[in-house]
Amino acid sequence: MTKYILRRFGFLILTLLITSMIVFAITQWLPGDVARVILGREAGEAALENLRSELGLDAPLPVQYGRWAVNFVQGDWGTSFSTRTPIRAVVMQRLGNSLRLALVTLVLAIPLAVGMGVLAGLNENKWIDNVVSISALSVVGLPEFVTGLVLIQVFAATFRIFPASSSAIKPGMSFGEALPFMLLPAITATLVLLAYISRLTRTGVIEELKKPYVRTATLKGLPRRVVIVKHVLRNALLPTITVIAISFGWLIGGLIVIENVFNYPGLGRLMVFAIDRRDLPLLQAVTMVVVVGVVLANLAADLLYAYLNPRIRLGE
Amino acid sequence: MNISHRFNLKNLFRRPASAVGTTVFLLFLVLAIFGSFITPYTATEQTLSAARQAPSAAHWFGTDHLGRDIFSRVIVGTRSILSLAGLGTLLAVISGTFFGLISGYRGGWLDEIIMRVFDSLLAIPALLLALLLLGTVGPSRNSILIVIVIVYTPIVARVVRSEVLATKNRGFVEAAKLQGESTANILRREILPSTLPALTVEASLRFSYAIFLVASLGFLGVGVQPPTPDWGLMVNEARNYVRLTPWALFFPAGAISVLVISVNLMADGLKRILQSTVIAPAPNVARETAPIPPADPAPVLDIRQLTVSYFQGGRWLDAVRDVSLKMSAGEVYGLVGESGSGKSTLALAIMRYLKENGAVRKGEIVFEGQTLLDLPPSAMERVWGARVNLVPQDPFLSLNPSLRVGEQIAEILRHHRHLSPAEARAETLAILRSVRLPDPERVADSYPHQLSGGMQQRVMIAMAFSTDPALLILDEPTTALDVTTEATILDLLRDLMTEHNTATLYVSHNLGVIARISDRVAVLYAGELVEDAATEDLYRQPLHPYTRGLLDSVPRVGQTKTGRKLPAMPGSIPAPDALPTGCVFAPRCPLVTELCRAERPPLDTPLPGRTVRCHRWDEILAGTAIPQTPQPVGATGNGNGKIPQPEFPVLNLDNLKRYFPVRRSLADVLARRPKQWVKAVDGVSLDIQPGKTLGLVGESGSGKTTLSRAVMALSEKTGGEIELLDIPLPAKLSRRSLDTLRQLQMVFQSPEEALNPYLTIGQTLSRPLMVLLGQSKDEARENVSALLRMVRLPENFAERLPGQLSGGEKQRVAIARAFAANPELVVCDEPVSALDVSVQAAILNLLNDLQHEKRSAYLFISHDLAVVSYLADEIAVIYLGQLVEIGATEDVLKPPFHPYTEALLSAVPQPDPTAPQHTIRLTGDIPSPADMPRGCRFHTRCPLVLESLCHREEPPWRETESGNKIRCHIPLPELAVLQSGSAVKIRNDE
Ligand code: SF4
Ligand code: SF4
Repeated sequence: MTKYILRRFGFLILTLLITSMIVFAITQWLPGDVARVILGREAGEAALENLRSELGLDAPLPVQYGRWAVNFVQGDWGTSFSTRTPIRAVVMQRLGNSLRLALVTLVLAIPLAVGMGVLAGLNENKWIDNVVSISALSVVGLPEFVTGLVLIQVFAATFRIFPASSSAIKPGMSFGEALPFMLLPAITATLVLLAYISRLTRTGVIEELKKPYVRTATLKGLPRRVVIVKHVLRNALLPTITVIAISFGWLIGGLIVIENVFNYPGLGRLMVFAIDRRDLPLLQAVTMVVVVGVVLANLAADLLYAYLNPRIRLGE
Repeated sequence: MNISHRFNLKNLFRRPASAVGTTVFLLFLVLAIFGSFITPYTATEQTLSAARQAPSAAHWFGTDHLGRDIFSRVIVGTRSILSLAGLGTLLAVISGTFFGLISGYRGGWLDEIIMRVFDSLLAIPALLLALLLLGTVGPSRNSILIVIVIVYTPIVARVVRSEVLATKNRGFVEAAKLQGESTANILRREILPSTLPALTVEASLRFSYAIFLVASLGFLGVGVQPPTPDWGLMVNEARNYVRLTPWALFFPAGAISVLVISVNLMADGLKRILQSTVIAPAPNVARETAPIPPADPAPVLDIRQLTVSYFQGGRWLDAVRDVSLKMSAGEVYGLVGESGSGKSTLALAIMRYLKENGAVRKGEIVFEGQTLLDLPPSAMERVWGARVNLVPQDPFLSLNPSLRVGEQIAEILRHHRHLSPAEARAETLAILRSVRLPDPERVADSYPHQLSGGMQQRVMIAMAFSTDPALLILDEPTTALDVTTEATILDLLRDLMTEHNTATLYVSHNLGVIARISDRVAVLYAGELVEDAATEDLYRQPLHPYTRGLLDSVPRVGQTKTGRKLPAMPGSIPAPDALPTGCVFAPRCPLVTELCRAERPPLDTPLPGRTVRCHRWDEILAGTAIPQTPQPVGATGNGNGKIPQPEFPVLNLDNLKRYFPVRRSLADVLARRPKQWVKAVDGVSLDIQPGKTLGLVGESGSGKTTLSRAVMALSEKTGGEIELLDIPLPAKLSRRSLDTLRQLQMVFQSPEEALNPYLTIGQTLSRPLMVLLGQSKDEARENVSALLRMVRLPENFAERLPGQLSGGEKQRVAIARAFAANPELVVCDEPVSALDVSVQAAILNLLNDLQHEKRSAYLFISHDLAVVSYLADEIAVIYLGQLVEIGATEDVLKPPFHPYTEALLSAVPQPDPTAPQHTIRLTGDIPSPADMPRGCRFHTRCPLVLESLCHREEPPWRETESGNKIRCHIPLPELAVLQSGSAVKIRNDE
C-alpha cells in the first residue's frame, strides 16, 4: 500500500508538471508576443522592449517557464494585467466561492445520483430503470445554460422562490448568508451530475450483478437484501468513487457556464473575465488552480479506492 | 455472432428511443444541408422596424431585438453547429485513433509518454482547456476546430488504446506477425476492425459533447462570433431581453436541447447494438408436469422428464430434453457431456438458478419429497445453502473479492445453523481444517486473491459441506486446476462425500475424472440423456455409440501414435437450433440406419439398472454391430516435397533463458538495489529432429508457454541460443528473415482467438501464401482450396467468416495457415486443450497425418500427458523454467522417473474405473518463479526429497541406459527401485 501511495503521488507530481507546461505553452508561447498582447497594436518598439525585459520575456522559454513555475509554487502569482492587483488574493477568494458551490452540489447530487443509479441497476430493463435512464439521457443532453435559464424562469421569475442572480454574494459573507444565492446554481449543476453519475452507477451495478460470486451468495440461501447490500453494493459502489472524482472535473467545466448564467462570483466568472481582457497571468493562475483541484480530487479518489479494495490494499 | 451485420444501421430503428433520436438527427442533418434554401430571410438581415415581434405567420419563431428573423437564424445555425461539431469530432477521431493505435501497439516508453501527456490534458476540464486556448489565440472557426481536436483526442485515444491492448495479443494478430506482415498491415487489417464497434460508440458520444461544447462556447461569447447565427450566442444575446422577447431565447435553446438529446439517444442506440449483450427474459410458460409415483425408499433427488429451454430470437430452444435421473443418499452420480450437451443447464435447473431467458418447460424435480419447481423464491432460500449446494468451476470468480474468506463461510453458519459469531468462527476454522488447508486461521483472514486456485476451490468445497447438505452439485470443479492439484482435490472430495453421505451430482467433460469419482454415470449428448449405468459397467461395455466413441477417442497415457489412429468422431455436436429430427447422434454415428434418421430412439432398459437411447443397443450388446475399425496411420501420403535433411536437428535450443525484470520502484533504483528477475525459462537445452515431435509437458507456471513464445520471438529471449537448421536465430521477430518465418510456424491454443473475425477464411489463408511465398492474389486464391482440402474442410469454407465455424473447424483453419508455407517446424501450444474430447481426437489425427505428409517437426506443448505421449517421439518435462527429464517417449513413461514426472503420471485421471489408483500426490502449489526455491527447484513438493542435499545443491543430470536424462540427486537405480510399482503400460498393440 505504501508503495502504491508513493506511486500515485509520483504520478500527481508528474501530471502537475506536464499540465503546467501545457498551460504555460498555451498562454505564453502560443500567442506570440505577450508584450504586444498587453500593450496593444499601437505600442512603440521601445515600450514593448521595456515591458519585455520587465516581464522577463527576453529570457529563453525554458528559463521563463522555470521562473514562472517556481514563483507559482512559492505563491507569487504575479499581478493582473487588467486590474493591476496581485492575482493570488482574487483567485483565492473566488476559489473559496467556487468550492462552496461545488460542495453544495456534491452534497445534493451524490446521494441522489447513487441512489437512482443503484435503483435502476437493480431493476435492469424494468420501468424504474427506463424512467431513470431516459430522463438521464435527456438531462445529460441539456447544456447547463439551458437548464439554468429554465430554472431561473420557473423558480425566480415565475414563483420567486430563489434569487435569479448570485451577484449579491460579497467577499466575507458566511456560508449561511450565501446559501440562498447558491441554491439555483447548485441545482442546475446537480441535474447535470445526476444524469452522469447515475448512469455510470447503474452500469456498475449491472456488471456486478452478473458476476459469479453473486450466484454463490444467492445459492447460500442468504436473503436477497443481504446479497445486495453486503455482497453486491460493496463491490459495485467501488468504481463509483472514481466516477465521482472524474465528475469533479466535469463539474468544474459545468460550473464555468453556470457561474456565468447566474453571475456567481467564482473562478468560472473570473476565467471569462480574464479571457475578455486577455489577462494572461490571471488566466494561467485560474487554470492552474483548477488543475491542482482536479488532480487532488483524483488522487483522493485513487487512495480511497485502494483503501477500500483489498486487492490493491493488500497487493504488493 | 456475425459482427458485420451488427453494423446494419437499420437496427437503430428497432427501439423506439433510438428510432426517434436517429430520425430527429437526420432531420437536423437535412436542415443543415438544404436549410439555406428554405429560410425566408437572410440570417443576418436586420430590420429594426420589425424588431421584437412575437411568432407569427411572417416570422414563425418571431424576431429578436435587432429585428432578425429567428426561424432563419436557427436554421442557418444548424449548419454552423453541425459542421463545426461534426468536422471537429471527425478530426479528433482520426487523430485519437492514430495515437491510440501507436500507443497501444508499440507500448513501452512511447506509450508511457503519450499516455502521460494525454492524462495531463485530461486533468484540465474540457471546457477550461477550450477557454484557455480560445482565450489566447482568439475565437475563430479554425481555433474552435483545433480546440475540439485537442480536447477529444486523448479521450478517443484511450478508448482505441484499450481496444488495441485487448486485441494485440490475440492469436490472429500474433499469427500475422509470424507471417511477416508489416506493422501497417497488421494495424489496418487485424487490429483496426476490432476497435470499430467501440470507436463508433465513442465517436457518437464525442459528437454529442462537441455540440454541447460549441454551444457552451458560443454562450460564453468565446465561440462563433457575431453576426454569424450561432445557437449558443443567440441564447446569450436573448437572455438580456428575456422579458421582452422570450421566444428569442426559447427557440435556439430548444434547438440545442432537441439536437443533443437526439444525438444522445442515437448514441445510446448504437451502444446497445454494438456493445451490449442484453438477453430478453423468458416469457412465462405453463410447465407440463409429470405424475409422480410414490417411490420407496424415496430418492434424494428425482428428476422426471425434465425439459429446459432458453428463449432466443423469439423462440424456445431446448437445451435439455426429457431427462430423468434418480439419486439416493451417498451416491455419486457423474454427468458427462461436452460443451453444448446441456450439462451445466441441467445443474443450474436443479439449483433453480437458470439465466433470465431460461425456463423449465416440462417435467418435475423432486428433492427430499418436495417438488422444487413449485417452491416460491422465499422457500428456495431455505433450501439453498442448507439442503443443496453448488461448487462451480471457477472458484476465484465465485468468491466475493472484497470479503475475507472466513466471513464468507461464517455467514452461512450464522444464517443456517444459527451459530453465534464466536461459534461460527470456531466452526469455520474447523471446516477449513477438514478440507486440509494448512494454517486455517491465516486462510480465514485472507481475501480470495491471496489464495492459490487450489486453495480457493478448497474453500468453496468447505462452504459446500458446511451445512451438511443432502445434495451437492459439483460443476466441473477441477477443470480450471492443474492435474496435480486436481488429483488431491478429487481425493479430498471422495473422502468428504463418504463421510457426509451426501448425494452428489458431479458434472464434467473429463471421462477420467468421472471414472475416478463416481458410482453411476449419465451421458448427455445434445441435451438428451443417451446412456445411464453404473460406472464400471459403462466403461467396460458402453452400449451407446456416442459413449463408445467418446471412450475410444480419449488418448490414454502410454497409447502411442505408432499404433493405430485415434478413433475420432466426425463432425461436432449440433446446435440446439439445428437438431436432427431422428436420433440426435445420427449425423456422427458409425452405425446409423434409415430408422435412426427418421425416428427418435426410445429410452430402453437393456439390463437392470442401465438405460440407453439407441435403436441398435441389442446388436451392440450382442457384439454384432461393431463400429468402423480405425485405420492405421500413414496410409495417406508418404513424405513428399522436402529435400532429405542433412544431419543436424531442425531446432536446437542451447541454454535458452527468458527472464522478466521485476518492476523496480524509484526507491529501489536510488538505493541501487540489484535488478530482480523472474526466471520463467532458465537454461533449457534440447533438440528436435527433422519430422519428429518433441512434447513439452508441465503444469501452468512451469514456463512451457514462455519457452514456445521465446522460440517464436513473440517474447524476446534473455540469453542462450535458438538454432533453426543450424543457423542461430535473432531474438527479435523484426530481425528474422522471411525465410526463417516461413520455416517456423505456430498453432495457437484458442481457436476462438486464432482467426480474425472480420476476415473470411479465404482471406486469412491467402495471406501467408502471398507474404511468405510471394504468390500473386490469384495464385493464392487457388491454393487456398488446396489448403482447405489438406485439413479436410470443404472448399466453400473460403467464403465463410470464422463466426460460422465450430471450434474444431476453426482450429483446422489455423493449422492450414501454419502449414501454408511448408514449415520445417510447427510449434503447437496446447492446440487441442480448448476443444471437446470428441473433436480433439480428429485434430490430433490431422496433426499426425500432416506430419507424415509434410515431414514437419513439432514442438508440442501441453499440460496433458496422455495427449503428449500419444503424439510425441520424445518428451521433455519442465518444472519452474528448467527441464527435469527428457528422453524418448517410452523411456520417460517407465521407471526410473524423475519424481515430478512420476507425480504427473500418477495424477492423470485414467478413463478406466478399474485402473489401479496411484497414490503419489504433490503437496502444496507450484512456487512462484519470482521466489525460486534454492537447491533442487522441486524440493518443496518432492515426495522423495533428501533433506540436506536437495535443499542446498542443484541436482546433476543423470542418464539411463536407454539415453533418457533425469535431473535428480537420487541415483537412477535407486529411483527405479522406489518406483517399481508405477510403470505405465505402453499400448501400441491394440
Ligand atoms: S439410434 Fe442409430 S444413429 Fe442413434 S446412436 Fe443408435 S445407432 Fe446411432
Ligand atoms: S533432487 Fe531431491 S528434491 Fe529434487 S527431485 Fe530429486 S529427490 Fe526430489
